[in-house]
Amino acid sequence: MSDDYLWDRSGESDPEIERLESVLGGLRHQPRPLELPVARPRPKLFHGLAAAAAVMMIVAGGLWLASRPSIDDAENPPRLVIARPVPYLLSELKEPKPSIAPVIKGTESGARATLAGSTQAGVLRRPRRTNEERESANILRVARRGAPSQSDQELMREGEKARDQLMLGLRFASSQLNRVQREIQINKESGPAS
Amino acid sequence: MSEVEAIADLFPISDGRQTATAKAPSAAAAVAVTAARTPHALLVEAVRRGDQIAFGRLYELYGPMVHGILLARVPWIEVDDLVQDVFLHAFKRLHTLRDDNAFGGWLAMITRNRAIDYHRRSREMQELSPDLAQAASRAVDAEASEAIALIRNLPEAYRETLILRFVEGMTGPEIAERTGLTPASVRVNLHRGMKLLREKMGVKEET
Repeated sequence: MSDDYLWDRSGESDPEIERLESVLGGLRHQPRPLELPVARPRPKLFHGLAAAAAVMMIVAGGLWLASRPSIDDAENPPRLVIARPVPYLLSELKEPKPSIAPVIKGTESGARATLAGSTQAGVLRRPRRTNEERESANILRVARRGAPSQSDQELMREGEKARDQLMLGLRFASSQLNRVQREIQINKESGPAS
Repeated sequence: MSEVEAIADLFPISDGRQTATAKAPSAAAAVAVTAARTPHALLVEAVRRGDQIAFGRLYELYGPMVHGILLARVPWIEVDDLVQDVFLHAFKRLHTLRDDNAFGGWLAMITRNRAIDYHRRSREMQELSPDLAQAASRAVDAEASEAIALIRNLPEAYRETLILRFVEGMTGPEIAERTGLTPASVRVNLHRGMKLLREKMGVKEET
């Protein structure tokens, strides 16, 4: 028997296929009105805010970078200025700085040779510094770099202002973004409008 | 062919092709790409641009296919709601479709996944109450219900094609065009599916 009628209803009709068509045709798709979500305008506010925040960040970042004091400034040679009196700092300045190189037990006398005993066999560790040592090292590092001059201090103040403005701008942008996200979430939860 | 003509009226590309060819080769090439698209793909493109009427047209064209694929897999009473779900999902996810010409195959895949999802969820939910199940079966003609049950016992590829042919009244070429299958595959599925169905119907009549 030819399958043409089954394929495209051409040729000789097949009674069994015709019967199936008539019986099952009652279940045919009855299109209902399609309920599409109402097209809401895209949140242009969101894009605007994002762009504004980006511009603000770039401008504020540029200002902050420009206001930073230059370390390599030839007119401001490094000067040693101690910001506040730190007793252990003074002693560190007077005494030679202890080496932090690993020490093998028995090769050096004194306090430096003690750490090797606390390490596991065969493992040499850098000696741990106390908080006081760490703080004094930081102050020394700043002092070696050179204290800021008057103009440097002004620049630093401007930089701090710019940083504060940047933080304020970021906070504002963040709050606006959160608000927009909440609105989008609410719109999504409200579902498609009929 | 009337559908194609209707869409061609909506999107007149033949006139534009002649004009563009006369103007510049690059424009002619662009029009050639456009011309390679099927009328259905042009509807998809229109939907991408925000034309909801074009999506309504796609719903008319592909609704029977989605209905048939679902009917081959899920209870009849659930099919209409799921058809709406599928089209809503397709509308929202249309931006993920890479080739507008492949809309039919893409939609068929969404439909099959939705049917799988339905069965996964229905396992987690309570069984349909007996009264409701009886009411649903009464709504369908007894003979049709038996025929559907027989078709549903066939392998998946055959039952989908046979339901599209007998329930939705689509011809083989139409099934191939909508689902994205090759005409040869559809022809084989129809032939073998019908053979199996005849065997099952014969056995049933004998008993």
